[in-house]
Amino acid sequence: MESILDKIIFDIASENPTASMDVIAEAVIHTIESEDFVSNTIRKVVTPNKLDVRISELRSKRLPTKQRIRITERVTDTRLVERVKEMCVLPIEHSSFNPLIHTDGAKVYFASSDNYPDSPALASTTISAPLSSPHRVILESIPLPDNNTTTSIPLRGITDRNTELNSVTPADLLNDIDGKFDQSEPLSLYDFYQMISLVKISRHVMRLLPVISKILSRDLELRKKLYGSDSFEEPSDLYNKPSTEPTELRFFLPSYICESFMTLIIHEYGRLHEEVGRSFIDREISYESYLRQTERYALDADRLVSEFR
Amino acid sequence: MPIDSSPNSASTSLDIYEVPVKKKLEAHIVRVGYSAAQLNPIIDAAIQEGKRSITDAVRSLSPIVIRERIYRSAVTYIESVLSQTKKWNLCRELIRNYSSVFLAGAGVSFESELPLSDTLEYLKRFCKATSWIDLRSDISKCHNFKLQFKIVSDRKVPSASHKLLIKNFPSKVLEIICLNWDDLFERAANLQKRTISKQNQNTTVTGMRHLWKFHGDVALITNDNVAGQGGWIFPDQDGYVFDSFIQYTVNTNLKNEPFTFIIIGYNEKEQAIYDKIIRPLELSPPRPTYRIGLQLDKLHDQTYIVGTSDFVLKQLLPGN
Repeated sequence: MESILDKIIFDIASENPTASMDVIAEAVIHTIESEDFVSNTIRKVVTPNKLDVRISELRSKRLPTKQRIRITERVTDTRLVERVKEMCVLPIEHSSFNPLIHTDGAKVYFASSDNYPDSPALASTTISAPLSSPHRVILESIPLPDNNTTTSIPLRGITDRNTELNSVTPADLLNDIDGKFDQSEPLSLYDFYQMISLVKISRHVMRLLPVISKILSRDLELRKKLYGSDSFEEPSDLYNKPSTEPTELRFFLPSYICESFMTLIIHEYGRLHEEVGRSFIDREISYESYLRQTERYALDADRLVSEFR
Repeated sequence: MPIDSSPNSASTSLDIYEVPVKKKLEAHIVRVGYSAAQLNPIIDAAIQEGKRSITDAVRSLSPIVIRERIYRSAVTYIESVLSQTKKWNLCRELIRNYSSVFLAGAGVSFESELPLSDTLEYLKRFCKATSWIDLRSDISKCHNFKLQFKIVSDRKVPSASHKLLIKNFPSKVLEIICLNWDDLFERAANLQKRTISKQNQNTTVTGMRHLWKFHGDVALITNDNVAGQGGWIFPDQDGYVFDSFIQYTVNTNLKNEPFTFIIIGYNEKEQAIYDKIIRPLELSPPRPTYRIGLQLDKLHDQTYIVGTSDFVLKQLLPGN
């Protein structure tokens, strides 16, 4: 509940970086009152005083919204929720990594961008899902969000220097991810959004990815069972369809997400290679050790990529 | 389309990764505050290092992993080169204090795009020689090889290394020992309207401060191939040093003078060069000696500077 409130505040604050607290509060209340996806429960509990406190807290962090990770109500473990909240205000190291996930308040978007310069079709395509009906996934040919818009989130692991993260163990996160999705129904884009958020806040990306791979695999099986494998549509076919008519993507989404996770794996591998390279330059390890370690990382990354392929 | 993530064929050439990796490297260099154009030779060397990092175990992995490995290894290489400021500073100071003697190998001319021994093989075959021994034993083939090499050499232009060394000769660079056949140092001197004394035959030497060419010279192509009399020394041989050079080091007392000895772009595999030049100049008496080359595994060696000749010499010598 609070997470949706936070999200609304984040969005409005980021769109109006110079606005006063009063103006933001007013805009937040207006949004809560007017948007369909905000539940009546939230409307009842949100009071101006409470809003003031939240906005004040967020303001005190002095970080641009785009560097925060949104909290979602689906993170059910209380301890983790608290931890995630703390992490929300930790800066994420510079990264040009994409795909991008963003929300305009009504929909969650999962979009590819300049990572695929050779694929104009993919680059100009955005997958979105209404928050009110997250399973209805729509492929739209609309302009991509600008990388610099305040709502875009670069996806990557947080640097090890954020020592506050160390208290979250991989086991915590693995249990949380694996236990959260019962998979009685297909994953929604919103679910992916949460998974990615968890990966993003973790410094144990490589250990989380096999679990995610398993979840995605289960999801694909479930989709085949529910929708029938005959209706499976290859992404390449979808690219060729008229872009004016929204297309439901029952099978495309998991494969699309898998591809995105592969990009994340490569990004993480690159980060690890860079760290070892730095140790070599700083004379902490020998050249042979540098080669050995980075080769092992490459083999690990390839194994993970294979799981998502 | 996104990069193919299907298993890589072991036979796929790594060359296909060069263009995308180079683009990413250039962007990275600009991000860390350097000019990509200035570091272009380093980028090329870094990509080669990246390709070398693709061992047999890695070669069969997904292309997306291979590309990232080449890129990251190349980034490490570039950052390694740029991290050597302490070495540059000390070496520069030693050259400033004691002047220097340079021993230049094929690596210096490589940056002018002259062939190294591996690609010289093609020129050898072009001259219908089956081996270097075959080439040497057949006067006609040998002569033709020299002429063909001269044609290749004439198409090239002196690199920044050639120009810098000549510019600092003989004030900071007392002697240049060049083991290459090309005339790029001489042409660099012409460009600077400088006259340098060249010793390309084993004859009595007068005067001081010379460019030494023990292994042959495109400006001196004779019908026969006698070492020290215009003959060329080929890659399968153990090198050759003029007796007149040994005598010169005694007569001029160079042998006993302090100077900084720099070995650049040379693999030190020729026994005669090591025994008659490198060992005495480096160790008898012990002199500050630096080696400049591309071997990343020697980064931690305090007297080995990793990098291309052009880039490193710009850090060491005044006037660039």
